[in-house]
Amino acid sequence: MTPLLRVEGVSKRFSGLVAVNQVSLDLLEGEILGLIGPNGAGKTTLFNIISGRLAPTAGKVTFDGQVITGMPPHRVCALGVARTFQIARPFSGLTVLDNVKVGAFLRHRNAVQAEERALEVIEFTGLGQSARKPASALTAAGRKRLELARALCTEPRLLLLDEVMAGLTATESGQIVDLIHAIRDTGVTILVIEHVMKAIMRLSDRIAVLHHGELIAVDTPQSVAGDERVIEAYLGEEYTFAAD
Amino acid sequence: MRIRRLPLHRDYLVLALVTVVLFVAPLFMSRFLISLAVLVLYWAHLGNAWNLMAGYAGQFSFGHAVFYGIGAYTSTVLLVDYAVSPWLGMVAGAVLAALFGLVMGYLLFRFGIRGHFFALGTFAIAEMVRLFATELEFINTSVGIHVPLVGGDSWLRMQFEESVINYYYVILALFVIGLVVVIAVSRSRMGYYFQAIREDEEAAAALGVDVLRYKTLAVMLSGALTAVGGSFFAQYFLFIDPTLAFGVSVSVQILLRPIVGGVGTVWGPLVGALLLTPLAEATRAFVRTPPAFLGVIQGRAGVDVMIFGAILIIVVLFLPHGLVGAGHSLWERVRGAEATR
Repeated sequence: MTPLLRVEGVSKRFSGLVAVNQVSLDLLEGEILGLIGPNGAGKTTLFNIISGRLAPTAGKVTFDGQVITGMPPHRVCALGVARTFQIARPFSGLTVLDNVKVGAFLRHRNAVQAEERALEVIEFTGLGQSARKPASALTAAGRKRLELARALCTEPRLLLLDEVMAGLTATESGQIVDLIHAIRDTGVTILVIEHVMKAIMRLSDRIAVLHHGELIAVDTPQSVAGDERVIEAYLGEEYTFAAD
Repeated sequence: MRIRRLPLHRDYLVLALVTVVLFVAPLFMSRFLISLAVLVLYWAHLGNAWNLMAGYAGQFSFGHAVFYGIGAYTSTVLLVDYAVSPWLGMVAGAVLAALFGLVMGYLLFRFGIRGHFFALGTFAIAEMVRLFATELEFINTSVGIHVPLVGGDSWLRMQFEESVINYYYVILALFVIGLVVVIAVSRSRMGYYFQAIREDEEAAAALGVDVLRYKTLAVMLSGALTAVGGSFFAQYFLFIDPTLAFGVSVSVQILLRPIVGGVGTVWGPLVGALLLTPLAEATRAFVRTPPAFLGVIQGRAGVDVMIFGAILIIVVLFLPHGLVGAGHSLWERVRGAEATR
């Protein structure tokens, strides 16, 4: 089975600093892959390369058989790769519905159809009560859901989620985990960066670990949790891998 | 707070109503009031055009005179040198302005000029074109061009010596067309993309919005509508020169009314024009014949601009969304108070 996303030998240097070093990674259709690593490990940089915001210094990214390295973000999105941002970036001047509608317009030129689609996704992501509220009035959890809803409305085949659970309570992140599972069940492949360990262990089919820009492990959650290099990379940090 | 989304066609309904009122209104107005109303609609139209690009797409232009001047000169040169009707000249001017907007927008955006620097860029381009025009032989350099009088009223030549009311209906039609464009755009994919770009370019791009393309489209559309206003002015004033067409004061005047009325709102430019245009005329009249104790200001030009400046500062400080935005918040507060009762 050919992978949906193939990252081959991707490196990114910022004037002397190697943020991502020779990373190769395959994503299979329909899986949820967790991307973890200490702060500054290069996770978001890798996301930015896949989504087209940054061009890699070396290497190649292939989506569904098509090379997407160096493509501008809007074209990558049109091909079926949507992303959320680590710090939610709602269009604050617009309502929740209008925010999501912007995403829906990618596949639906007609305003009425776009609105219908947006309302469906708003219901699906649990924002039904807030559809007509201004995006600026949402809570932190609401903003995370809005990021998800907007991205989902572009009807992606691959969804890149950058810390959608950061700053949420345990209950809230539990709900987001359920939501992400529900999204996967509609046939979307998901690559997710997460710091909340409990959530990512529960969420992912496989976990990839980045450390100083290098990929040091890609395996099932259980195996990664027991991997010595991974434990070493996290030494001194408060994460515990013990599955409860 | 709760923002209620308007039903799909409410703006069109209001526009239909406003159009009917404006259509009948001159029957009850003096000649002086009609010529004042011509100016109100003329500025409202230019404000609409500017608002599309600056208010909706968030690309603040400080050089809209460049589009205005292209419209004014295109129709005038075509009329005077080639006897082409100003109606066609107006269309030609709009097309030329859109093409100019394509080049200008692409160049500025392609090289990542944003925000304040974009505003300065538009200003610089308008000034360059103005200076260029003062040297250009085939548009009669800085001397300017008179539109020859044909005498009487001529719809074909858009020239009405006898009845100013015809000018009124011409500008009313242009205003309505411009506003229909604004409303249609604001409800379409293009309008949503414009607003997404205004709010956050990067987030918009991540949702599949081709930011460069839509920003350039906003400039083209806004430029074309502005040029139409320029052509109208040339036919109304019957004279243009590089300062009247491309001058800084044109750029400033164009953006004042939509800012005061409400940037990025459908009705802001009209509200701003309704307030500021009579105020400007009243100030000018006042300065011509001031009361005795204010004798010093007699005949001083520019007092109206000073007053505009003061109003602008007050609006920017206290009503960032203009009069329409302030009215909307007030309405929401009243509704909110009722709902909790």
